[in-house]
Amino acid sequence: MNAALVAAPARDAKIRGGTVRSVLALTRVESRRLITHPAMVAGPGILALLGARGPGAFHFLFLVGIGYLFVGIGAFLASNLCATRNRRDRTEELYASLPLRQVDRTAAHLLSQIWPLAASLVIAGILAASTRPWAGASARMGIEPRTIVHGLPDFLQGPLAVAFFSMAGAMLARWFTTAIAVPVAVAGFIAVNVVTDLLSGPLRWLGLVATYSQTAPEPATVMAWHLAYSLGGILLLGLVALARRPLPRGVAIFGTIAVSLTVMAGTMQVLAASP
Amino acid sequence: MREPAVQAIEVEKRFHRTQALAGVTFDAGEGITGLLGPNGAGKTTLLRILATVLAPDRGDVRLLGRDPGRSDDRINIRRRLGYMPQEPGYHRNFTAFEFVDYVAILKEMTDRRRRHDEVRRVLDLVDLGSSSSTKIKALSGGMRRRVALAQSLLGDPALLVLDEPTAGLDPQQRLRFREVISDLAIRQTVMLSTHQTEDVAALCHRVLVMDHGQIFFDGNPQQLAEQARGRVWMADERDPAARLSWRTGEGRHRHIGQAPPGAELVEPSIEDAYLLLVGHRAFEEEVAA
Repeated sequence: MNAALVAAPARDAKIRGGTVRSVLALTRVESRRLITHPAMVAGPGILALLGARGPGAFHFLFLVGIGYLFVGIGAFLASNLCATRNRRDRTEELYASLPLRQVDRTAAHLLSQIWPLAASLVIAGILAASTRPWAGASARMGIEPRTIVHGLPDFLQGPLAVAFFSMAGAMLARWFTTAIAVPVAVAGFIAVNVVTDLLSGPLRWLGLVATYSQTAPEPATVMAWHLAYSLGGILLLGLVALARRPLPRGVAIFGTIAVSLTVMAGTMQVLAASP
Repeated sequence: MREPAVQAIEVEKRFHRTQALAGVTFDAGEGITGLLGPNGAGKTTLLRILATVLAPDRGDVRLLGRDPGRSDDRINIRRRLGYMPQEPGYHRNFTAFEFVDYVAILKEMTDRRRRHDEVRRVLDLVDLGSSSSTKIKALSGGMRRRVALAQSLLGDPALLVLDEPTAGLDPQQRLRFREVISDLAIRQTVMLSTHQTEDVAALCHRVLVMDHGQIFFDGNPQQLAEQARGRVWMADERDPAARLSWRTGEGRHRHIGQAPPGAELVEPSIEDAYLLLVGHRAFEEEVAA
């Protein structure tokens, strides 16, 4: 007989924590899985290679949004694959017999998306420190396509775009378990941006990363509205991922706030950017 | 008097046109209750209901004194439940330790140090301690089954539901499994389904034989074997009229049912009784058709 069997202690009450503590413990595991996922590592890896050409290249990649797009697509794919892991690996039946519910597991996946955001904020911090927008009222970067940086808030739209992508990956996992869902969604996203003329003029502020107009100068307040708009969108994605029937009270309340914030900030930024 | 850990009354479950369970009634307390039956008998459906994965269409189920139909009760039942599905999935890129640890978190074990101790304990129980850092994709089928068994043992569950736990295990591993489960059953309720009548004979204090979504035998293994007493024969030749007979390793023919000419009566086994019961029902259905 194995010694471990004989020594089996009455362990239940001492080990168990509540649902919140369990979700946080699961978040730690899922965070580690997410940030070490090959799709998550690949984006920064490619950027490191491109950025090795010098600080100018690094600035260019991130200030025009390409850098964040790389990180964001990596986060999109990685978060989707992590969130669909249970269904792809057919562990749902086992997990359905366990106390932590599916909605709790989704919450852990959503909370783990803090790490792609944190990584992007570090990049934004490095950019801000080297660009020093606070040194003048308006720091202007002479790069093509031209990007005009008004101040510190402008550096936040890239990280928020990454957070939007990673939350979208977790949200998409509710309906699609196939690994090609994200590539199809990314292709669709790029097609909408490239093929259509929808996001031109003031409407371009409805995109994830927007730049100021070169011909009709826009007020710096437009960026504040854009950040609120992005934040509302991120919150909305998370709440859609958590929504169940019957709709939980908290999800309904925060959902209303998120929709209001997105619509109001979206409208205000377009109005602020309109000539 | 203590309430049995499992109580099922007239439980019915239907999947489209298939009646998976047709009025199952039984209760089970401490010890090991085995479920025997052919494929499609309803064993897995019944175990999935006991594991709170499925809800019955009709009838009442009470597990550990609670109603799994109520959300709060269901969570409380799950906290004291261990389940090993027939086809447990695995995260292939996880190590055995990581997978069992992941399940432990889903079982609300939040104290990291104690949880890791518990994961090591259950992996040791199934003799996977030395392979705990091996990725699941590199483990054999039998070792994966043991990983699945290990996760079901986390936290000393009061009710253990095991769906064909010995499938794919070699004889030595099956022996080890029996050792672990028989020890647990002293203070816990274990429900297991199997196709291995030897497991039932070796482990179970009670056996339920199912077919077509119904329980048609409920008793202990000895009582099951008694069902075939006087109906198992050994003969030198195969009886062409026999419905159930096979050639044994000794070169003689074992017949179940009517005595062939010149046959000698032998001691029945659980397998004989099971084959007789299931075969008899199939025969009756054939005749009725």
